[in-house]
Amino acid sequence: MRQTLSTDFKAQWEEASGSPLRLHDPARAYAGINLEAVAEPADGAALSRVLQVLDEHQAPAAILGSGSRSWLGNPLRPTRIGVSTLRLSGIDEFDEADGVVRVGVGTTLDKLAEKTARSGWWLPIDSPGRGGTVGGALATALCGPRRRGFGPVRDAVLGLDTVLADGAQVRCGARVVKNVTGYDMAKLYVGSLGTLGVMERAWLRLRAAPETALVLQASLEGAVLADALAVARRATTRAITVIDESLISVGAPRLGRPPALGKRHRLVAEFAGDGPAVNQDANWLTDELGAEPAPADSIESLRDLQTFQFPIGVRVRFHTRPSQGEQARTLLERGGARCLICPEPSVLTAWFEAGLDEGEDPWWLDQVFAVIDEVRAHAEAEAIIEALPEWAQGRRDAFGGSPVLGLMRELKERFDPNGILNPGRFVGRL
Amino acid sequence: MRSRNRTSSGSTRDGWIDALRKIVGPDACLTSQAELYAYACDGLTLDPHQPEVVVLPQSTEEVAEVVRACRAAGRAFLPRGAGTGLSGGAHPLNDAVVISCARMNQILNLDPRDRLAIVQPGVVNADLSVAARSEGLFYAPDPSSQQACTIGGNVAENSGGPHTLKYGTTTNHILALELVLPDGSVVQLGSATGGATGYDLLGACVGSEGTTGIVTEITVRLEPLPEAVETLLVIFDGVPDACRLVGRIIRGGLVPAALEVVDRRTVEAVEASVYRAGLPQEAGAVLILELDGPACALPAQIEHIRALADEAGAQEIRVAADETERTRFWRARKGAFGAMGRLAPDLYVHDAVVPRGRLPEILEEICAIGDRYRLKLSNVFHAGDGNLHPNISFDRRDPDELERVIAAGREILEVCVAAGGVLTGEHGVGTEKRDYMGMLFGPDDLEAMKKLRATFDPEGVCNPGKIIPSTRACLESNPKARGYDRVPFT
Amino acid sequence: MASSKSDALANFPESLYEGTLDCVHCGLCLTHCPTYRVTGRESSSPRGRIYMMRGVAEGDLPFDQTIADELHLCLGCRACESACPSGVEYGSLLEAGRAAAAEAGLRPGVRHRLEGLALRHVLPAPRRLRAFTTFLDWAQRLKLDSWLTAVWPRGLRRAWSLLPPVPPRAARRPLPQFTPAEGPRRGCVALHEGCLMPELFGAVNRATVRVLSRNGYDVVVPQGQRCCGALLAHAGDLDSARSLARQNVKAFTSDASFDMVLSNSAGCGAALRETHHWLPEDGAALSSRVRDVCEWLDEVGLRAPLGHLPLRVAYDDPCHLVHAQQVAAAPRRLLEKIPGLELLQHRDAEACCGAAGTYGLLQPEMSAPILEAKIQSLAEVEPEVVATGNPGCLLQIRSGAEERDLPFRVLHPIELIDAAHHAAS
Repeated sequence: MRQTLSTDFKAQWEEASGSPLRLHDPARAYAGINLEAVAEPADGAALSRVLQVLDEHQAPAAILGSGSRSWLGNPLRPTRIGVSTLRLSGIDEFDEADGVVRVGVGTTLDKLAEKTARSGWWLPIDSPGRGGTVGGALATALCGPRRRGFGPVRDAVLGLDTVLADGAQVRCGARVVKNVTGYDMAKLYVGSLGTLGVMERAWLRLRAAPETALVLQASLEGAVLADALAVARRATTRAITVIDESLISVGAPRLGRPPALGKRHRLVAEFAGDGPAVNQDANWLTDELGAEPAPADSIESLRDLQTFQFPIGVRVRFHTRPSQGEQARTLLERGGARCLICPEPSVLTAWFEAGLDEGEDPWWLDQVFAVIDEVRAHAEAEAIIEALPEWAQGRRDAFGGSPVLGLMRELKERFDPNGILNPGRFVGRL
Repeated sequence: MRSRNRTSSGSTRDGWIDALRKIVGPDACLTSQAELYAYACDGLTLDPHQPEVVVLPQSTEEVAEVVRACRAAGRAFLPRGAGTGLSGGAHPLNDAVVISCARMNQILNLDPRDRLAIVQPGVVNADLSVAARSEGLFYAPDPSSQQACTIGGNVAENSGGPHTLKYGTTTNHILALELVLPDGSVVQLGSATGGATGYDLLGACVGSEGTTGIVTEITVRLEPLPEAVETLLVIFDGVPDACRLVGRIIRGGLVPAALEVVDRRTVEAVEASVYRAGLPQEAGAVLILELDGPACALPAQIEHIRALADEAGAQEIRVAADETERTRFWRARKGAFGAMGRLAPDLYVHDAVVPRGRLPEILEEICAIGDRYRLKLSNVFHAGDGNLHPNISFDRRDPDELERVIAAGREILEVCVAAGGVLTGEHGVGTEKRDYMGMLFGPDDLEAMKKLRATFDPEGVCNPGKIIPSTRACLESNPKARGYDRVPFT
Repeated sequence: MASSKSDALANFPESLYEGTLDCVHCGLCLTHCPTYRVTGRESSSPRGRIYMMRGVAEGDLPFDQTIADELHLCLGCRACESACPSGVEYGSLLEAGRAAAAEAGLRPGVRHRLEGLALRHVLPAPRRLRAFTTFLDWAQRLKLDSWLTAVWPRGLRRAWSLLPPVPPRAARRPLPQFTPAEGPRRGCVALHEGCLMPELFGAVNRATVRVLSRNGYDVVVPQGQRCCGALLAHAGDLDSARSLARQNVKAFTSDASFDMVLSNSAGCGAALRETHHWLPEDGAALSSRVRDVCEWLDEVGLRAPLGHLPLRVAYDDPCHLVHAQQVAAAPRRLLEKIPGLELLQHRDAEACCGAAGTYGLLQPEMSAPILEAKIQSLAEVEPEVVATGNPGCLLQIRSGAEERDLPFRVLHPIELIDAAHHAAS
């Protein structure tokens, strides 16, 4: 398969696409694949030409951002070229009166959030992990601890400029906050891991910064999710997680505080909004569960924890109905997992850690898969495998399939008939 | 209106209609001319199309069988809720069979633990909130027609309403759909967990105006009733002043549950109707502002609003004294569209969205357009979302006035689009704005939409003729093509 | 096309066509319409009926039996008017539409024709009506009805079952033409006694007179007053209704000694209040002076003391009071004043019970499910008394309660006020 791209090819490419192609020697690893060249278009027109060239040659490409969330998805099918979105950056327009911003997808989340925060607006995108670009956050549509307050990523997207596989530059939505003009195409591109088109620029909706925000933590025992759900349903709750204490020392040491004796779980909640309402909820939590103030950067610690990985282990994300959360937690803990749980909407991240032996252990992996399947069946959960040991890569569809995979294939076929965009990465290895 | 002469018995003229009758029962298969006449249009009475048959199935299985029978007979079909839409989305073009969801009106499950409900598409929007109330919950999207419109129709149009400012539109509240695809198969999109994997087909189907299949079951998210609600009337000399206050509120970071502006002409019409609420008729504009949330937070918010309102030059602020008065204000607001029927025989309800910061200048432009065309134009709109509803009262029997209504409507949309706005915020494209899509979208943009549609309905048999203009050339507003010329007494 | 535009319009009164244009087709009426709720058919909704009539007027649609049937299927409850922001006068459109149907020779079914005979020849003629009630009285006493009805068709049997036991002759004797006020006199009112009321609900009429008199009003029952004609008009016989209305205008406007004309029957009150629709020239003289008795008492205030009445009462709105006259709060306020009385809230109190004049007799298939829903919502709050101010509703709800063996009594609100006055004295 391996066949080095020549410098001739580089020249031809650049002429055809009008976009610089950076050759890598040695090849750069990305999602388990060694890329030999990466195109870095600087605007939509260049991106369009890049994709046209690839489409004409039926040459598959990896769609790249900063790589901070590349752990999500199935392994990329063998591909030698990457298309980077990093140069599609910049804040084009920030309407402070309206609370909307137009931004290139290559812009980093941190930079954008910092800029809007200075004018009193929050970027309501709370992707797990650190750093990363707007494009990556939209393509993965992953949610962090503030899912309760911010809603899903797709809700922040008002409009998108996207380049399709055949090079067509299409727009959907607009800068306004309410819009039903035509099909809601943005829903397709958001969360599709770049497999239907490459997002170029986005209009995002911001949220006014709250008057007050407080983060508290408390220790829990017993049927922890009943307590956690009550916290989640307070009026000002913005972030809420329940964490296995044993994860904190390994994955989020900055949360501090030794575990309370005999209590396996810790609850971290953030209340945000008007002062009196936030104080009312904080006082309630203090009275009910003996909560104490948590360190200022607790939410960041939780985001880090969501991407924590054991040297050899499996990380899985489950979605259940809130009433099934406790059942899922019980099954997972009985199966040897440690959990980080957002009670509503109910999302559980579970870690399975293998023994110290670095060799392959298919028996252990089968045990883990059995637990995952049990939770799927008994807690009516969807499961997405976020991380596997290297030797187990690709053993299962990370997304666990879909009952409407036929429709999804049909959709992919129409948008990317030559399969050039991130082949193999998405559900059903589309 | 094209009327065909038909036998009312419909006995054996067409075997395929008999097949439909067998599926749904004789009582649920309408074929007499008069009955069909009642299904020729929705809330948009221009350009009606009488269907050839209307069926009223009662279950998913019946819908699927009806769809298969239509396919076998080579007929197109479309779903219909209560027919309260305003963009002609429920007009049966291409002789499509109307599949009415009126008899699929059961709330199948109301689950307070998971705060969701599973409903059939014919459930009336307001009925769901009434049913959820005893559990301390409500269904947030509240289109002005909520006392009649159905959840199925809301899903098709991605309906909004006054409270979408804080709570979002229909799409933010739909967890899952059961859909009969145009090939007659039944699929589930989305998941009650909110975490369905793969492409967001659910999100793409909400607002697809019934072109991706017939929705037969809907799982919706319910919201907790707020602890406290306060409704304020802020009274201004003119609409632009009211909009300036809206801008200041948004900029200041407060998110009220609703921010609605009603102008003087609308106030007069409403106060003459059964929905009268004692709104001040001498005022130039009334801003209806609702705050909800924890009781302890509201007094400070009201003070904040008062201060901003004073700065913006408000004449007066009234706070609703009790729930009865609050309800009256909202009934008045939601009855506004129909009340405009008092001013003239016909009413054109426009729907466009602009960036909120530009509301004052754009409203001035819109009023100028109305004056220029010598039309009776009024404004009642969701100011907090920038969602305008310029209403033009007219008499379609006056051909000259009709021409002016159409020309003004187009100009209003052009102004909105030029300001970064869009053609519709909540009424949908339907047939009404189909041929205006070119103002906003290029051929490639529309091509992408067609790809989505073709994924579900490759042959274009499900609600044909909606959203996407039929030919690229047809981007001109042609009154004849839109049926405005087919009026009596011209 | 069966008829050209001008032909269609010739059959269709211009005012009716103009009336249909008030509808902007918004659809807010749909869920308020009992027949739409049962059938799910838009042709059985107010908007559909209006649109069909408009279609006929504009020559798009032949005036056929389907349209006539849909017009007759309507209960005439006018709940749609309470929901209509455009102020469409649906009740008038319906009456005109039915009249136009009759003129176009669209004959309703046998039942409707029987109804027409009865309405034209019995109700407006007090002597014939009295003869009928006397016959009914005897039939009921001799238990003729049980074996007689056994051979009747289902619809007629149901109609018979709606008929109440005929009150004793004493309760059916005529009201005094003048009853003086008790205590200091506050004014003078005239009572429209109705056609069926004296025969079947004489007790209600008597209670009405007593309550008014106790609260300081002279009560006159003018001679020459006639049936209000509502049932005739609803059936499309506008000519006969107009002739009755003329006589009522004469009876109630020739004497200016009373302040107001009161009715204790919602259906009659609504018709009297809309006399000017039928008689545009001189009807207003009567219609502007008509009030429902509860509305009037609420307006002027009860003066006589109210005794303790420990009852759980559900007040059900008669359509022709809440929708046609927009009176909903007044009867409730009066009842709430009675010490010990607990006013219950049941679902859909303002929805039709399915009686709708003669509807319960003529459209049993449609009336039954509507009544069932009403009885269900009443049963849920477990009342001891259901109060409602219209004879048709009183009969219908009574029969529904009997069918399900529910223990509550059905009374006119004025009877409760009368009882409370009595308890105080």
